[in-house]
Amino acid sequence: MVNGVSQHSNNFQANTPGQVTNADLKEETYLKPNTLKNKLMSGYQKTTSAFIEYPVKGLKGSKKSNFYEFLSMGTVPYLVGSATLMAVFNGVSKFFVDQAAVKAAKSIGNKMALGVVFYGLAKSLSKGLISKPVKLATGIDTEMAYEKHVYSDPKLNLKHPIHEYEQHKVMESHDFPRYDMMYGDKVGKPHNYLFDEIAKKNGLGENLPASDTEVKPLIKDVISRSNTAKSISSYLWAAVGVMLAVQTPWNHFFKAASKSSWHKFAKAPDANFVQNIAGRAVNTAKNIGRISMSFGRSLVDSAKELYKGPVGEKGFTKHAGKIMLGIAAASSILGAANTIYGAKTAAGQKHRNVFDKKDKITVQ
Amino acid sequence: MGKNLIHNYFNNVNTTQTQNQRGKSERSYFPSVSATMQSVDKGSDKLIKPLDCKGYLVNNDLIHAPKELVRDTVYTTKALTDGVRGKANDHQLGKLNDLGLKLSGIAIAAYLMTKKATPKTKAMEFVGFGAFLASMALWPKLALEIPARIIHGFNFRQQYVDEQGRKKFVTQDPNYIPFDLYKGDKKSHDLDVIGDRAGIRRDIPNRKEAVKEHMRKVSVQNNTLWMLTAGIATPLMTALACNKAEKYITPQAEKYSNKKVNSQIDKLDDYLNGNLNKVEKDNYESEVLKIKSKGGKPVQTPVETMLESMKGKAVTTAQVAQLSDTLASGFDAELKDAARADISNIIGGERYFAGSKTADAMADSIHSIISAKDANLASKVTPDKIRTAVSEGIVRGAVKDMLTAVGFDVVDSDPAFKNSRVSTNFKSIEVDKIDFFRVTPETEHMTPVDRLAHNIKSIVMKVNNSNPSEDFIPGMSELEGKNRGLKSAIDAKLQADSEAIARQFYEGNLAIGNGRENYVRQSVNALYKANAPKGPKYAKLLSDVGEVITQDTRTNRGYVITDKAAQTIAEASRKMHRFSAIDEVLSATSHFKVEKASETIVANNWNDVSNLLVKELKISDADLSMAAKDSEYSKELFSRKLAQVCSDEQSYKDFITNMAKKMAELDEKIDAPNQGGSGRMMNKIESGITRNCTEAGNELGALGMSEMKKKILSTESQNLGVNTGSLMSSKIERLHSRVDGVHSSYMRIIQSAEFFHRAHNYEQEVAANGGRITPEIAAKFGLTQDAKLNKELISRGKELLLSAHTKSFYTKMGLHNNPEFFEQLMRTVYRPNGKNSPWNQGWASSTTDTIKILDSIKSEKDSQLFPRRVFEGVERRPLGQKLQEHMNQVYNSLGSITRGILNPGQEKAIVNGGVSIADQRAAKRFDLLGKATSELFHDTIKQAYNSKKWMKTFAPILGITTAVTVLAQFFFGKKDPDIKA
Repeated sequence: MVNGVSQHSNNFQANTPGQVTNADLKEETYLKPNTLKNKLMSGYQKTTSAFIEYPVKGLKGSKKSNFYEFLSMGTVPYLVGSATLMAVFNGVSKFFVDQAAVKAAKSIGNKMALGVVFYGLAKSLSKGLISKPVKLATGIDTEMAYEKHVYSDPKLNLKHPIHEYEQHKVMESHDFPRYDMMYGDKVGKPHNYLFDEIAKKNGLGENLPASDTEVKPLIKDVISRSNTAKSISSYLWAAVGVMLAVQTPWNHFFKAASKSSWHKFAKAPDANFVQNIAGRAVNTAKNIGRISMSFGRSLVDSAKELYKGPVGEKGFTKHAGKIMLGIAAASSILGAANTIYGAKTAAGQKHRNVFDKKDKITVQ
Repeated sequence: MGKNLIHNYFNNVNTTQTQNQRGKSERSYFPSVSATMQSVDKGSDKLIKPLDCKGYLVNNDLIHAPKELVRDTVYTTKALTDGVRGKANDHQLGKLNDLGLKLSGIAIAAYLMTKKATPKTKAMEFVGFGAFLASMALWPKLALEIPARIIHGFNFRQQYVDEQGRKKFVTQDPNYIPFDLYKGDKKSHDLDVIGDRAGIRRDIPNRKEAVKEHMRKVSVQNNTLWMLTAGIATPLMTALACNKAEKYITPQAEKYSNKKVNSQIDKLDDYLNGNLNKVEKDNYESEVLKIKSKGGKPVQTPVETMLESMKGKAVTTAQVAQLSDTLASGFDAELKDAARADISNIIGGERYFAGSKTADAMADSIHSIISAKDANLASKVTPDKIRTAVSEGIVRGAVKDMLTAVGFDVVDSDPAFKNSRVSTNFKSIEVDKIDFFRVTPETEHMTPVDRLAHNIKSIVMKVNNSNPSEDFIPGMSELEGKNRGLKSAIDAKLQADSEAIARQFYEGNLAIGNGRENYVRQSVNALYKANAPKGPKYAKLLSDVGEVITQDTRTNRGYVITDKAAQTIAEASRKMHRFSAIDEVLSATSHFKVEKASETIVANNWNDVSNLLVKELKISDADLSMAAKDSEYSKELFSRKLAQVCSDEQSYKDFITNMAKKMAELDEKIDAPNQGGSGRMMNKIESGITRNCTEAGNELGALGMSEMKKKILSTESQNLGVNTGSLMSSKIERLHSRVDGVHSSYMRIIQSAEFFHRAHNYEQEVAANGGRITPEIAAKFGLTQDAKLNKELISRGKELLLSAHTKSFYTKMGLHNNPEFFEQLMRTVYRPNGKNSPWNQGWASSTTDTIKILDSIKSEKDSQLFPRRVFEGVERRPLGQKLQEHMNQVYNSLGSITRGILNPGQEKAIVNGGVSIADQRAAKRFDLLGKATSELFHDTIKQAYNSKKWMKTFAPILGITTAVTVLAQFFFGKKDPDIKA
């Protein structure tokens, strides 16, 4: 079982029932500050569970397997698939008999590996291009995260108590946003503090009697628009990531990072054990520095090559990189702008929010 | 949710209200309780019974697939518009994620396509993406859905559409499976039937619940298995699919490109031969060659652009080099060198650039040198005086240049005055004492430029007919009397040049010829000597002053491109522009046909032939792996396998027929015109090269660019009757050499088989004859009556055919000390029995049998004709005859150990009446041997091994993944004996 990483779980000892007090488990869901550390830890928890915990439950056909687990397991084919893809090109090439074929396959394989990494990185980082400006302009943080803790009653003193964690976003669902996570009571702030802030930022007014009621439709609008923008633009940026990875300057990096380019540590004849260890460490650091420098240079050169296009070409072939970059950038800008526009105009239409029986009504 | 209780209530209230208003107007607006109850009673069916659900299970069979596809597309489009308008629900947002994935896939494929050079590799990018999407969809269907239906009796990937039109998998959320949609409308939608198929006992209570639990459990298990296996299976399926698809795409892509290239060749041919009308010609020049704009105006060439900024200014050596490189851009260094020579010739030698600014600068430098040494002298030799001296020197130099040029260019142009006294006077007259800067009352009000021009003109044009001794150029009066026209030409030139000198002097870019800076030196020296005392100190100082002048002449050197020179070069650049544009079309088309690059016709055919060779020889996997790693083993294997194939008459016949047919496809593809077209493509390319080079060469020659003409067109080895060394000949030679090399390599394969076959049959026949070699047997197989010698000839002959290179024919075979044996060997292999016979007679009958087999092969396109052959006459010759010719040629070229130095046009023929190589170029001879057959085999083996290795590694992984996925499903579902029978 993979432990969760909420601040609450730090002083929580799963294997010693009896010591658990109700105070440790007062909430089933915790808001998690959007820090890099939290993000990484959540990602780690989710990925490891997707590889270990959920498949075990799923293959047994457990009654507790749910849709969240099924969705989380989507990471498995992405990561395994990427590895397989690289193996298709790299795995066998060393058995090839002629060096030209080995070299060609390796170059493709390396670039493909890099492409997979850049695809993932660009896809996840580019979401910030939507969420950051939206948060700045509307005060709505679409990336607000919480952790759900599923546990068995500690009073039962079970031999194998259950502790499972799910990583969620408050606004991951348009139909059922977790508004309850947005109230301030749990964090020792005024009940409607977040809704007040959002209402103020979007021109709904200050000191509203029930800012949450006013703001909720606006949040729904933002979820729809920002998710649409994220879906389209993050994939376009992912495509740009792959394009960046196939440029020729990376060959320098692959060469610099190859085993044969590793500067070997030369032992001094009269050095003692400690000196040798230190020397090795320095040598390793130098090599890593050299490789990192090469990565930086290749990244810059590749970005230039992607932008400028091949020399001596014209038309689409020449400008394809530029066009793709432009489309990706435009999708982010338009997506963010449309979301902000939605929030600002929805605020102006609050009086429209009367009961219209001609509208289809979904009871939620 | 379409309708619910509340909705229903409102609808009914509405209806009642409308009816009431229509009926009795006095009734109150609000319905009475009784009226409401009445309506409730009427519709009580709807209110009390649960409403029938509107959702349904989707039929995803082939019949419904198109409808579903349209529905999904409409749904996604609506999701996008709803999403943008802030109204999309979770399900719609999920669909947009899929849309993003597809968009990025298309973007990546489109971009990677631009990085690929050929239609096939471009197409493969999209094939790859398509295969990836297909694999993603196919894997769960093939490895999970279908087995699960068989094993567990239901489709766990059944989709349904809910009341709000959202399409989902029934089992995606195990906590909410809409079992109520299984209404039993067909067997697969009937829980009872599913229970039967799954083997769930009939005699248990709540059987339907047991069936539902069975379905839930299997679904969770299968969904998990799907996630775990898709990562391995999808990329492998994609890669394997692409690998297979490539085989079908290659010929299609080749066909497509060939058609395109052929029409390019046809169009160019029409253009070069003047078969296009004015409009077509203009279009061709603007759209394809891009040498004219849409309106038919010539496009400015890069050289012309450069000339605009260079004209009339000092141009450095580097700039001249740049100009000539641009003129010959896209061509080799040879042509660039020629362009440089021609341009230098046109613009003349290097010159010294000077002017009023030079005079200013020099005055300052010289004065500061003098004042550092001797203040007294410096006060006498003032900067003003120095400036005047330098200026006079510069102008004198320029005037001297002008007069000399008039002597050569104008006076000498008239034969009557060529090298006459007046001509000599122009060239030799001295100007060192003349003051060109004098200011007279007449010229005082003029600008310095006008004054200087006026002074020069008034001095140099002075002619006095009544007193010829006052002529500035002695003899001018006399010339005017004899030829007035020449006089006015001289005057015109003097006038124009004088004005130019004055203008350029003040602009600072007056160019004076080599050595003319001496006028500056003279003039400064005179000023210095007039003021400085005598003595070594002052001699040294004068030498320092002289150094200033030297330095300046060194730094300010360059060329002058006159208007006339610029015009010539610009004209040449337009010719070169056209030449190079046509050449580009020719190079691109010939590249696709014959060049050594991937996916050219010749490369594709070479691959086909090589692969067929390996296939025909039936190489086992074990042999393949051994031979790929060891070239010696590969050679041995090839020899063994070839001997095997050639040991049976039928398999031998099949082998050479199949190989020859595949080989003949090359010429058909390279040379045949498009449907409806005419002529032979390779000949059109060749004549295009000839025509383009001839036209451009002659045009450049007419412009005085003789070096370029020579490089493009020359026949350097005219004395040998062969045009070598020119661009034209090298382009044509390359074309022929590529084709010849491949032909010879192919011939060598066939010939190797012929020799193996002959050797085998010889051995059989001798064995059958009790080991005796009769003269008939010897003659039949082109061998001798000496068994031991024959054995040696056969073994050496095989070695020769399989692995010998040009040099090995003689030296590597270790036959220096045995020339008779060498000649016997060559005869045995290449000209069995044929000594002193005409080319088509006297062949060993065994060889004749092979020739007959080959002769019977007809063209794939037309069964009446023999296969097409590139670069040969219209009359098609049978393939057997081609083999005969080839063998004759090799024998003639390499068959003897000694070769005489030949006279032009004389080809040494060992055999009387043998077929000689028509062309004397060395390449023709080198190309005769082609690639050594065993090397060709080894290269192919290596490639075959690589792709087999790849297949053999990944196909099993996919197989094992599939097997594990299917087998695992047998362990899924409830095994409880209380439930299952």
